[in-house]
This record gives sequence, structure tokens and C-alpha cells, in this order.
Amino acid sequence: METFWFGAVTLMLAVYVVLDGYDFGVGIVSPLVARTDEERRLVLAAIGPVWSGNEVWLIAAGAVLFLAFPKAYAAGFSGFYLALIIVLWLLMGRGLAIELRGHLDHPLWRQFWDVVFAVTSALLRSCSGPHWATWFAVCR
Amino acid sequence: MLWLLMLSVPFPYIATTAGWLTTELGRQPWLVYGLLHTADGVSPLVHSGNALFTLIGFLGLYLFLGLLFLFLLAETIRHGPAEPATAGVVPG
Repeated sequence: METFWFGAVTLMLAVYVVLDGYDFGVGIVSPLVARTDEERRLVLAAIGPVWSGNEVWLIAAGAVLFLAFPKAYAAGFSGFYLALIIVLWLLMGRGLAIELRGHLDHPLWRQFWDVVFAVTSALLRSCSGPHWATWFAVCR
Repeated sequence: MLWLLMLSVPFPYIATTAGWLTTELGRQPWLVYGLLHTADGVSPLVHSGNALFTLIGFLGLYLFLGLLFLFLLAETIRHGPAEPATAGVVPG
């Protein structure tokens, strides 16, 4: 039974990394590939319908970890407390940038959220990689 | 009569916040009622400084979000509702 749950958690985290990696990638290259407001909107539309769904894989993985491997969950969430909270803040910032950008038709407002989108995506990718790797190394 | 309805806007916020405070404070000193004390649920790995830092961080973040919410709400009110679509409506 443990093997099944281990497989389930591993699969969920792998799917999350692949799917949200695509969203992060879009965020990181967005300042390079999109210059006009129209292009920026196209880039956001490319991940618009899927990014929040992709995030659910991480939440589901956390829930399964809590259910099946409470000790690994406790070690990860207490031991990496600050790192996890920072990842959470960055995820919030990324979501806010996508959701709030279109609410106001002002160049400065849009530019601000474009920068937030790119920076949080880049930081999330570069922070969560070592974070997951260390966690798995410790749990093993 | 309508301005009375407008005054009721904050009530849902007050109700949900009060309910939240009741559940969180009412069950003290239990973390899980009758099973686990709050003092036993404290993680030995997370120091109080860490918790204070993240608490201040969350307060700052939510203060920023609250101000943004009020600002966007004011903007929406300032613009007013969109013109109702009248095309295709045949009077009588």
C-alpha cells in the first residue's frame, strides 16, 4: 500500500513540475517574446485557462503527502518553513499578476503586473527546484 | 430603501470573520478538541522569529491586497455600469 501512495505522490509532483513548469516558462520568456500590450495579452492567454488548474496538482500532492506520509509532510513543512512560505507568497504574486493585470487600462498598471509576472515566475522556478530536490534527498 | 441595502455590504465580511474567530479562539486550549493541546502541536523546528516574520509578511500582503481591492472597487464605481444592450428589444 505504501508503494502505491509513494507512486501517487511522485506522479502528482512530477505532473505538477511539468505542467506548472510550462506556466513558469511562459512567465520567464514573456518580457522577451512580447513587447506590445496585444502580444502580452496573447502570452497570458496561452496559459490563461490552465495555470490555476496546474497548481491544483501541487495542492493535491500536498494533501496526499499529509494523508499517506505524515512524517515526511511534517519534516518538509517545518524544516523548510521559510522556503515554503516564500514559495507560497511567490505563487500568490504570480496569480495576482495574471488576474489583476486586465482590471485597469493604464500603461503603468499593466507594466507593473507584467514585471511581477516575470519576476515571480523566474524566482519560483529557481527557488522550488533546489527546494524539492533537498526535500527528497532528506526524506530518502 | 436601496441605501439601506447598501449599508448591509460589510455584514457578510463581519459575519465570516466573527465565525472564523469563534472557531479558532473558542476551541482553545485545544488544537483538536479533546485530543491534542495547542502547546503539543507546536513544531520544535520552527522558531518564534520565523513565525513572527511570516505573520508580519502575511499582514503586509493582505493589507496591500485590501487596499488594492478598495482601489479597484472605487474605480469600478467611478466608471459605472456599462450601457444596457438595447438592440433586438422590441417595445410593446
